[in-house]
Amino acid sequence: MPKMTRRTFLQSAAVAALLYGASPSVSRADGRRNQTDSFGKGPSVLKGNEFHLTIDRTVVNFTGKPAIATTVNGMMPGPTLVWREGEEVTIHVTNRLDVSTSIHWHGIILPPEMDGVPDISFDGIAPGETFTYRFTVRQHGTYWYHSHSGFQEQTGLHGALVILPKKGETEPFEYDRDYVVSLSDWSDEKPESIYRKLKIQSDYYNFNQRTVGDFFHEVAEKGFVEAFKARKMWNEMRMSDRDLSDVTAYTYTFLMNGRNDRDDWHALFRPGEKVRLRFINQSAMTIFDVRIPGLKMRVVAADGNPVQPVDVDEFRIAVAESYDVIVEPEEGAYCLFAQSIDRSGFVGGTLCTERGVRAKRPPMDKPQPLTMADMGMGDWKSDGRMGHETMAMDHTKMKMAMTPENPWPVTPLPMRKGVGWTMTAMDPRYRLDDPGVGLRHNGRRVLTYADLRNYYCTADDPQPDREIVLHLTGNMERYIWSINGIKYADAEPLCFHYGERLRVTFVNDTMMPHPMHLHGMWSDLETGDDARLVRKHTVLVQPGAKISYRVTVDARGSWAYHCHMLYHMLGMFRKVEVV
Amino acid sequence: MKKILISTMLAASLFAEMNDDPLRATLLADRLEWQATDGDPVAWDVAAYAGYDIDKLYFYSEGSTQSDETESENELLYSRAVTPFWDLQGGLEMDTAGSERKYWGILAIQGLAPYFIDTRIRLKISDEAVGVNFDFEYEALLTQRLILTPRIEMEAYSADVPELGIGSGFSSLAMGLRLRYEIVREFAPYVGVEYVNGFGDTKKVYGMKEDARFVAGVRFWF
Repeated sequence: MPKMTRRTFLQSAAVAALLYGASPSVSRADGRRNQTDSFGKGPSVLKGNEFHLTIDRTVVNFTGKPAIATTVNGMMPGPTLVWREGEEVTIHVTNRLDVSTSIHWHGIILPPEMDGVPDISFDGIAPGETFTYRFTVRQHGTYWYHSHSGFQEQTGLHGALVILPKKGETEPFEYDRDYVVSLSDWSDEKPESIYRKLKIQSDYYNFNQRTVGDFFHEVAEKGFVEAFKARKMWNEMRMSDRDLSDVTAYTYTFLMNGRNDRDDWHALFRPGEKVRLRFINQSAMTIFDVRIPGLKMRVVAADGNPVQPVDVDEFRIAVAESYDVIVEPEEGAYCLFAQSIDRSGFVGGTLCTERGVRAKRPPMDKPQPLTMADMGMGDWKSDGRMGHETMAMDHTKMKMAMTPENPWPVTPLPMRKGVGWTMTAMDPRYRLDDPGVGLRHNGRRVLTYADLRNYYCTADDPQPDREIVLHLTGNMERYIWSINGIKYADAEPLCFHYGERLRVTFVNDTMMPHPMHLHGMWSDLETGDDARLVRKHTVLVQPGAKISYRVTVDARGSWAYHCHMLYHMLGMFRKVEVV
Repeated sequence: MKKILISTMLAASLFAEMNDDPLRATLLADRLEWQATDGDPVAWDVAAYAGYDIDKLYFYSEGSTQSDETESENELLYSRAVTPFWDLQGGLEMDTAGSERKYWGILAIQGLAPYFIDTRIRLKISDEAVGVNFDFEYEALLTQRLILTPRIEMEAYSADVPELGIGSGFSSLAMGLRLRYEIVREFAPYVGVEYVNGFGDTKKVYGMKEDARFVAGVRFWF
C-alpha cells in the first residue's frame, strides 16, 4: 500500500517545489545545478482541489543557447498536479501569451466543454484571459496535460497529473516511493520552422539513411542479384527502410523531468524499497524505448489503468502513453535510460541511494531498419525470409483478402485515394506480440501489447454493435498526413452513437508508427483476451500493422480523435460527434 | 492575398484551425558553379517555388555566363501535384542566347521516379518548333553527408531554332557527376565533372563542341 501521508496544499502560482508524501519522492527541488536561474527550481508538485496555472513565456537553456519556452507557472514541464478521485477540481488557467492557448487533460474522462480543445470543446483561452476548468475526477492513476493550441506542446506546455484513489481505497500494488518520470523532446528551433523543413525536405532530420556502402555490404553478403531484389520493393515504392523518425536528435534534446542527460535528473531510494516510476511520454514527436540496466521492471499500469503485473527489461512508450512500473533496486546507482526509437539520441537519469552519483549510461542500440512487415507485408517473425512471390502480389487482391468476417456490421467510411496516399498495406497483420522496429530479437524481455491484460475482469463488457475501419494514410515524400486519405481540413466529423459499443480497427498504411488518441472515452484494446481488455487512452499503431479496440460510447458531445505525433496531427485528425 | 495572410497567421496560433498546409516559399540553387573550360563560364540551376502541398508557382532558371555571352532558360509555371509522386506543370519559358530571345509554352512533369530518380520532362512548344527536354538526377549517399549526384540531361527538337543555335533532332546531351558535402542540409560545396556534346546540326552548323570539364560550386537552399 502506498505509504503516503495525505496533505492538502492549496498552492497558487507556485515557485516552490513541494514535497509529495513522506519520502523525497515526486522530485522536489534539491539545490542541484540548473542550467539557468530563470528556469526556476525544477519540477514542482501542486496538490489539492483548486489550482491557479499561468501560461507564459520563459527563457530556458537546454543546449547551451537560451531559448523561449511556453511554460506553466514558469516551469517546464509544468507542475505535477495531484488530484484525488471522487473530488471536484477547479483549475484557473490564465493566458499571458500573445496568442490563444489551452490545456487539455489527457486521458481524463470529463464533460466535453472541459476537455480543452480549441474549436471542438471550447473557444480556447484568449490572451490575457482566464478560463476555469471544473469537473469531478472519476479515475485515478498517472496522466498528463498539455496544450492543444498551435505547436505549444513542442515548446514546453505539458505536465504530469497524478490522481490518487478515492479516500480509503488503494491501488492493487504496493510501493514505498513514487516518482514521476516525464520524457520530452526539446528543440531550440521554432516548431513552425521544423514543420516547414519537413514539408520542403521530409528526410531533413534523418542522418541514418542507406548509403552506397550499405548496398555493397549486402552485395558482398548475398550477391548482387539478391541484394538488388531485396531493395527492389523499397526502391519501387520510393520508400526507405531507415525512415524511423521524422524529427531526430539532430534538432532535439531529450529531457527527463525537464533535465537533459548532462543535468541528470535523479531519484533516491533506500535498498530494498519498492520504487514506483510513473513514466509519461510528453514528447511532441519522440517514441522512447526505456530500460534500467540491471533492474527488472514490473509494469503495473498502462495509461493510468492497472494491468496484470508483467516483468520486463524494456518497454516502448509512444508519445502520450504512460506506464507505471515498480522496481526494487539494491545498493548502487541505476540508469533510467530512454533512447529514441531511431537511436539518434537518448536521455538518462539516475536512480541511486545517495546524491551526487551519476549512473553509467549504456551504449545506445544500433538502429534497426524497417522490414517488409512494417510495409504491411506479412508477419514480423518470418520477415527477411519472405519469398519474392509475396512481394509481387497484386495490391487490390490482397486488400480484398484481408477483410475480416465479423459477427458485427462494418460501417463503411469515405476514403479518398490521391496525392496524399502513397502506399496501401497489402497484408496488414495484428502484430500485438511484435515489440516493434529497434526492439526485435535484442535478447531482452520487451513489453508488447500482447503482454497487457487488464487487472480487472472485462468479461461482462458488451460485444461490439458495429465496427469502423480507419486507415492511417500519408505521403512521406510530400509530408502530408491523413485518415482514409482525407486530411482533417477536408473531413466530415465521425459520427458515434451514444450508448453503442463500437469497434475501431486501425490499418496503418504508412511506415511511421502513429499513437492514436481518442478524447473523452476509453479505448478497450484487444490484446488477445476478451476477459481482460486493457483500457488505454492512446494506442500505438505500428507501421504496416492493424489493431482493434472497443469503445463504449458513453459521453455525448464533440471530441477530438487524432494521431499524437504533433506534426502528423494537423492532417491525421478527426472530430467525433457523439449523438 | 488576404486569405493567404490569415491562413499563415492561423497556422501559428490556433491548432483547431488545423492549418496542415501553410503557405511556404523556398529557393534551391541545385548548381551554382565555375566550370574549367574556355572562357571560365559560371553556370547555375535554380528552382524556387511558393505555394501549398498541391498547388505551387515555380520559377526555374538554368544557364551559364562567360565573358561575352549569357545563355539561359527561364521558366515560370503553375505546378499541381496530380499523383503521390508527380507534379504536372504548365507555363512559359524564355530562353536567351546573347541578345536573342525565344519564348515557349511549357508542359512538364516533375517528380520522383521509382528508384528515387528525380525526374523532370519538359515539352517546349513554339510556333516554329517543338522541343523535349529530359532531366534525371540521382543521389547516392556515400556517407550521411557526402553525396554523389549523377545527372543526365538530353534535348531534342522538331526543327532548327537558329536564334538559340539548336538544330533539329537529337541536339544535345549533358552528363554530370558531382560530389557534395552537406555541411548542413542547406549548404553543400561540391566538385565534379561535366560532359557535354552536341549532335546533328547543333554540332555541324551551330558549332557546339564536345567537352569534358571539371566543375566546382555550391548547392544551397533556404
